[in-house]
Amino acid sequence: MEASITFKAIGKTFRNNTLLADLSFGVEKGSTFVIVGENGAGKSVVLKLLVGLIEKDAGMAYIHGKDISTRGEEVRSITGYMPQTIDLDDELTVLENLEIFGRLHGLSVMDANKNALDWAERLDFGMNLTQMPKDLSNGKKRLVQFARALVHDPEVIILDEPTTGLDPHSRTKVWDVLDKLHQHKTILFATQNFAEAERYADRIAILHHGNIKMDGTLERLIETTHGLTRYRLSFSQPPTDEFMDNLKAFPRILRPQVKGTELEFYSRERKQFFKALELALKYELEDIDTSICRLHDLFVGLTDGGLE
Amino acid sequence: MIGVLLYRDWLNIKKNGISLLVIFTMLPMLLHLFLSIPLSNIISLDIRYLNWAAPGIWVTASGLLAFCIAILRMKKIKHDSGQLDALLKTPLRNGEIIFSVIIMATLLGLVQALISIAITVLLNNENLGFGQILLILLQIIPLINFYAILGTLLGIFIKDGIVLISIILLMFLILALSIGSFLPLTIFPTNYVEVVSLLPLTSIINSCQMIIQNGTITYIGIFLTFLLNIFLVLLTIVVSYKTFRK
Repeated sequence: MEASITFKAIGKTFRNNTLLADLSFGVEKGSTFVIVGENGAGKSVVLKLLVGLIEKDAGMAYIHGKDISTRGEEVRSITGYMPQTIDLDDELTVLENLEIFGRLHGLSVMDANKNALDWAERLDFGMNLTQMPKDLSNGKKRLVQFARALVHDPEVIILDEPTTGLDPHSRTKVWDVLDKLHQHKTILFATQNFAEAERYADRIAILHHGNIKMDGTLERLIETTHGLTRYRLSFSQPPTDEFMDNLKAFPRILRPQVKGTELEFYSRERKQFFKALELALKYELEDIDTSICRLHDLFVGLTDGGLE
Repeated sequence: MIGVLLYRDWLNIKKNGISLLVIFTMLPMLLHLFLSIPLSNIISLDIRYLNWAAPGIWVTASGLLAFCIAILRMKKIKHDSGQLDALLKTPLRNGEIIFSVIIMATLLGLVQALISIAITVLLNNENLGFGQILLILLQIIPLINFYAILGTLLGIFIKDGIVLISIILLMFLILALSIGSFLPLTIFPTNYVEVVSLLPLTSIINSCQMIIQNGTITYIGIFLTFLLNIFLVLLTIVVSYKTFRK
């Protein structure tokens, strides 16, 4: 597969803080790549760097083979970017916002108008076209921003937490659109919503402190847990200290954490779980729940001291 | 691309057309009422003071308006509501953003100059020929452009509203009272006059006053202001490359 986005040893510091450290990854043309990470991991920095809002200190980055530093205008003309914050022009109507940004990306007056109306209809904000953005709800503003990122039919779509602040109905609309575009566009988005990442990504990268801890398809990422399972035991009362001390006798019980009346832990060995269960039965156990590790568990493990 | 940015500004202007029209007419009238008329009772010149001070009104009103439009527009783009990021993610170059602000501020300053000329002609019963108006505009345009560029440059740095108002007031004082537009330079100390006379802006104001008196005009002020403008534009673009993309 041909590369659409290439990041090679990118470094970025800001006010003596390392935002990105020797970051490298590639996104194939026509695929959906998702970056997950906690707040401040550097997700937005990666996206802003690609569209030229911030400049890298080291390394090389390319979109469709074009160096983002030396051919920035060309890169930005084929890229659609939706930031996390609202940056619509409050002095223009919604329609004018869409038209102007279409034209700034090289569309003719007619095409900009046609595309703006088309996106308004697809995303259900046709009746808001003559309103000023400041009069819209936050969710509607996000939809307009989403439409603005797509109004010039970009080849590469870069979205920073696209569904944050959207109601379920609008969220579905956004994903319906991205599902359709996914067949012939490259989509790169950052999110903290693991369910969305699992559902829509071809490949996922886990970013932590400006570095990719792990990346690959969801299946490959899950494989790396080697059958790790998450267990949740619910008690009628919070687990006692005595119980927790006894649990320490089982070395294969990983990351035991008490959350109210629940105890959550991970293990790869069923036998260890059965022993813990046997112990728990002595302490008014009410319910148990088991699930194989998903992206969220992997993320927690990788970014919060490990699961081992 | 600059055309699209100017169209965007035009859409804004259309929405604020009435308030802008009020400013266009009020600014020269206020200068006439609160500066020219009181000063006409104090200062005596060979020609009627109100006629002599008319170029001061044109220059102060148009320069100040261009300066305010540029500084406010640039401040809004750079510091308010994420507008800069919105523009920088498009294929625009920094220079195009800068030029669009300068062009729009200069054009509005020019409209202000024309309206100011019309108002002072009406108020002072002056007779200005078409040739004289063209000569006045030829002198004033580089000056308006200078204030538009200066406003754009300062707008990149100014975030704070109080600093902004202070700078606008300072600019007004410089324009109105210290370079010979409302107060004749003859009333100032010789040392001050020697320094101020070297400024191209002073030369432009003096030439405008000469145009209405059918005196000898010079073009050195235009030429020097033009050079200064080129330098300031380059400086503004360099500053934009240092500050726009972090």
